[in-house]
Order: sequence, then structure tokens, then C-alpha cells
Amino acid sequence: MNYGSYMGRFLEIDLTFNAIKEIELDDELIEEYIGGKGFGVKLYQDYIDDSVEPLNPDNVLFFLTGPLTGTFAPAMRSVVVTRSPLTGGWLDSYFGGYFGQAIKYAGYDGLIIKGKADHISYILIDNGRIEIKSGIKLKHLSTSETAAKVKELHGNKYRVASIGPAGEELVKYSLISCENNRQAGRGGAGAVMGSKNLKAIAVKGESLIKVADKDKFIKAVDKANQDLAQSADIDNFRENGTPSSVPFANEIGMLPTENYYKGQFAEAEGLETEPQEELFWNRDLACSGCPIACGKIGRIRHGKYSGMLTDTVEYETLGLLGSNLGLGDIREVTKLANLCDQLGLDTISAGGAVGFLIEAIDRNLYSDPELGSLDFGKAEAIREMIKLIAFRKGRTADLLAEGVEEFSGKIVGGDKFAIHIKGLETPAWPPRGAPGMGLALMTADRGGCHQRSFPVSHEVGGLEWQGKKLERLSTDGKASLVVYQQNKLAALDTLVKCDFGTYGISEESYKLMLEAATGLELSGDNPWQELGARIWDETRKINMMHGFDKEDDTLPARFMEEPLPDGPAEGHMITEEDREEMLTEYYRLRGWNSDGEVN
Amino acid sequence: MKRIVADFDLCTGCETCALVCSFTRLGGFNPDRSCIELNLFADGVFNFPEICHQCSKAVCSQVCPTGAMQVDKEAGIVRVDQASCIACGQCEKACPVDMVKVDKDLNYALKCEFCQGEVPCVEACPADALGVYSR
Repeated sequence: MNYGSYMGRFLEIDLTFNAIKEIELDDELIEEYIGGKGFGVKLYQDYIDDSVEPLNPDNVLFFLTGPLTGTFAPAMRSVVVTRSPLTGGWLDSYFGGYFGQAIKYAGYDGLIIKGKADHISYILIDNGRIEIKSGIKLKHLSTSETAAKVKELHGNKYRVASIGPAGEELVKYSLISCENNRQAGRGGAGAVMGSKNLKAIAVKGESLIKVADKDKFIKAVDKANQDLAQSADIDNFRENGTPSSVPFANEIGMLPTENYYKGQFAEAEGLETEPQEELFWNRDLACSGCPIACGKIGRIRHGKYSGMLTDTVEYETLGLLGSNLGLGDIREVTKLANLCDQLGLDTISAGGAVGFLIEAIDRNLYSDPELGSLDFGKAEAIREMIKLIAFRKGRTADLLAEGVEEFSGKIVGGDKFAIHIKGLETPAWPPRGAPGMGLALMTADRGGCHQRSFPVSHEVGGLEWQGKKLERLSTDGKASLVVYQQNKLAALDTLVKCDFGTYGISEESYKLMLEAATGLELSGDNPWQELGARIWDETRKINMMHGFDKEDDTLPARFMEEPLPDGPAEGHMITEEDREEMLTEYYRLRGWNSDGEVN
Repeated sequence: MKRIVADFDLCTGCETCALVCSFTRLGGFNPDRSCIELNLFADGVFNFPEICHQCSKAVCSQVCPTGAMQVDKEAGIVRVDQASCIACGQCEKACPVDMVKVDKDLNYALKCEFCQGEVPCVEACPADALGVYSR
């Protein structure tokens, strides 16, 4: 059967044996799993079992597109799936830009990368012509230098995904950079790529993506674009970007400050939209096919670091590299963000790791004379620390490169202020004043992540759920909201949607675009919920295979044992009773047993 | 003559124009096979989309050995007659801005011909960065 906008095959590359294989997509895979995260779940189960260590050559790196990727359906991305070196569990890490689209233009729905090259290498994919080249000239180049060098050698038409020095050094929270300025950031996919001695992948091609019904597809895309045009949230992403969340988070006491000790930051104003806009914003930048253009790019205009090219410093980065490290100077935070991007480090985990280290030093639980004046608010020392981590230089950096969970295990009492969930450092939405967010974080399939469900908009922002307003500090109604959001987003991650797009595009519009592009028909009363629930069961099974259980569906001790010291939710935390109550309801709604196991 | 012009000050680099172009002309999506080229200058800060200039003294037309490439003064554009184009690529070599390409599937020279008077790329641009300029 012809399924319109699918290219019909995966490209499998085994770096150990220099072997290339094309694998045809079968009907069942398409009908049951749609694409993106769905394909990832099935491929993960086919290729990876619990004996495959994350940084072993047997681990597999999947770059997967969706049926709408590469068309003009608005706000579409692609995904990297692998076994995370940080959590040891399921990892799906999403990226925008142009790289995923290029995979489809080269004639593939996804890349499957196995094995390990015998020395640093990169892959060139030009339609069906595949070459594995020596990457010696790329060693320790930054992410953008790597992309530029590959283009210089092979031409500007290639779209490049690369790792920085941090990925080469197997830092467990290193990222994959997909031009331009778009990263598969979370969970350490860059280290998996580094463990394969793979510095970059460059792709181009001349295939056309066809759709099943052109007229219907044009109408469906028009409808989705109208959805976006009518959304105030989308207008805000376009005009102000995610930095506009800083004053909101600070006001509600959910801005991580000094290793999440507090929820409000005295210098938060410096991290808002305006200072960043004045520092470097010059023009709007979009990913392929996207009318939102959330990127704000430019060069720092004057003063320290003037001339430095940078894209938006997003809210998560402002939270983790800014307030969480006691930094309110946007110039310094922009520099840190840029440094992480270039070295190939996830800004969320890097900020979490450095925050943990500083608190350990401040509590006199850890010392290293080589670290000098490292402390909250000390930009220069923090900058140096991040450089050391990327190259694993020195005892402390080498330990910290393993992530907060592992490092904290080496420090007596470290677990009391180690902020991670299932091994993944948490994002900039600490949940002591929003228990639903706590549930979302403790049940997210890849560990501490805010992108699988984000109930804050309902709990604190005033949106109604099932016809009523939710009480902020209560657990009532939170589990059903989290389940609904997780299912919806997992289902749309099969397409593969961008998170921002979901603020405007209706579920009906996504359905119409998918059906017109592919000829598939989504059946059932609530097809996205049904698809998402099925996928959520499968990622749960994968994590259970790796030994995760109910005990891992929990929050850092700081959020459950230390009452929040400031803000409107002062004195609040998520108790063991809150956790138990929400998890019981959550498991019940998912049809899992009381231990959180899929039957 | 008239041509589609791009305003780099507004362009976000989203490629929607190129996606619309390939979809309209070739029936499928691939910006690299469209009649629009998005050139990223200055490390990706600015996008300078390039589209056929519809030259009045069109060198592509002058080098065409079969007369397939013609300046249509009435319509104000340079046209390709698909039937008489032999896909020799002389136009492609001669164009100073690389805006004619022999398409591998169509097997004739593909360039911007204003889509029978319609300009779907201009209409689709979400940033209003494209317009029609007459001279």
C-alpha cells in the first residue's frame, strides 16, 4: 500500500562493519505507530534489550521523522531515540531546524546507526550514496565549526547534525546539534553518538515528499495555519519568546534559584525578554516550514562579548544557567548558553550539575582546590567549570560529567540536594507549589522532563480542566490532566509536532493533515488519546525492562522534604502522601497495577 | 518585465516559499528542487532568497540551442517551452544566479515562470517577505 508522505524505508548504517542496509517500512509499523516517537518505540524494542549498555557499540541511535516532517505542515520536527547514558532508560529527544527534513529528501523516514567506527568519523548521505569518512579534521571542533567544516569540504547543500567536544568525551548530558541552533538536547544522545566515534552526519537528497490527497492536504494545512494565526500564545512565542515565562515563574515561585533551594530570584528582571532583546535580538528565525519563527537571532551589539552570534536564550536555559546559578546578568547567561551549545552540552543538565556542585562546596561536603572561587553568581568561574566538564579536565569535571545522580552518590548526604528524576536533571519548573507538575515530572518517560505534560498552565495559570478550575496546591484532578496531556503529546510526537505548535493547532487539524498526507484514517472516538496511551504503555514497558519501577516515580528529596522557603506557595512541598495519592490515581487511569506495572 | 523579489529584512528562512514551489511545480516537497534558493549569509543571521530575475536580455535564452527558452515580453517573464527543451543544460551553465536547473524527473529546464500568472510562493510567505516587482 502507498502511504503518501512516507518515503517507505529506513537507512541502517553499521559503523563497525561499514555495512549499509535499507529496510522497508511495513504496513503494520505505519498503521500502528505512525512515525517519530511511535517508530522509536517499535525500533527500540526490536534493537535494544537490557544487556545493551548505553555507551556500548551495541546501543542504537535512531534519527526519526514523521509523516508530516518535510512538508509545509506547520511546526514539525524530528526525534532522536536511543538508550540514555544518563538514565539508562528510554530517551526521545526532539529537534527542529532542517536536518530531519533532509533525511526525507534523501529518501528515508529515518536513520538507524549501529556499531562503532574504529576512529573519529562522519557520515555523508547523498540520496542513496552513503560514505563513512575520516573525521580527524573535525576532532574537538565546536558544533557549529563542525557543520561549517563539513559544508566547506562537501558543499552547502548538506544539512548537518554534529556533536561538540562534550559528545566526543562522552559527557553524559551532551547533545546533538542540528543546524541551525536546534538541538536534540536532553538525555545524552550526544554521548551515544560520541561512543560510536561519530562526529557528524551530513544529509542531502533530491527525493520529493508526495502526499496522498493534495487538495485535502492544502485545506488541512490552511486550517492549521489559521489555528496558529488565531492563537495569543503563538503571538507571544513570536513576539516575546519563552523568556516571557521568567516573570510568570518568578511571581508564582517556580523559578529555580540556587540549585532549586528557592523559587524566586531577586535578579529575575535581568533574565526577562527585554534585556535579551536589547542585547542581541536582530531578526526572527524559523525552522523549515514553520510560520511561528520563534528564534530570535543576532550578534551581541556592544560591550563584553560584542559580535558573538547567538539565538534566543530560552526559558529553560535562563532558569538553569541563570537563576539556578545565581546569575541575573543576561550577557553572562547568554555567553554560558552559547558556550554549552558550542561545546555540545545540554544547558538544563549542565546548569543542574554545576548548581549541585556549588551547593556541595558551600555545604563543605566537597572540595577541590583547583576550582578557585566557584560559587553562585560567579560567572567567570562557572564558565571555566563548564569548559572543564566538556573536556572532562580534572577530577571534579570528570566526576560531574557523569551527571548529578552519579556524582551525588559519591558525596555523603548528596542525595538530599541532588536534583534529578530517574537520573535526568530536572527542568526549570520545580514543583513544590504545583503538585500536578510534580506528578508530570515523576512519571515522564525519559526522566525529569516538562515536555511530556505541563499542568502548570491549569494549576497556576487558571485554565480550566474538565469544566472547572483546579486548586493550585491540591492533588485533586491532577492525575487525569497529566494522563490526558501525556497521551496527547505522545500521540502528536508521532507526526512529529513541535511543542509550540500545539499551543495553536487543534487536535482536529493535526488529524486532518495526517489523513490527507498519508491516506491513513484514525479511528475511534478519541484517536490521539488512544494512540498516546498505547505509546505510553510501550515506553513504560521499555523502562520496566531496564529495571525502573514505582520507586523511581518520585521526586528529588528537596521537593518532598524541604518546604519551599519563599513565594506564594511558601511552606509547601509534595509529601509522600501526595505522591502516593496521585500515583495511585495515575496508575488506575492508565490501567496499570498498583505497582505501576503495565499488565 | 516583472519578477518576484525577496526582502531579506523580513525573511525568516522558513523555506515555505520553496516548499510551495516544489509542491506546485513538481507535485511534492523538496526545497532543493524548487525555483527558489535560500542563501544563508553571515553565519545564518540573514537569509537572501534568490529567485529568477526574469532578465530582459536573458542569457539563458541567448544560449539555448533550440529556442525553448524565450523572453516573453508580453507576459514580462522568461519562459521554457517544455516540448522543445532538450535538457542540454546550457541555460543552467549560463545563468549568473543559478536560477535555472534541468530537473532530473521532468527532463526539461525548470525556472520560475510565475505559475500561469499565480504566485503561490508569494501568497504563502508567512512573513510577507516576497512581492512582485515590475520594471
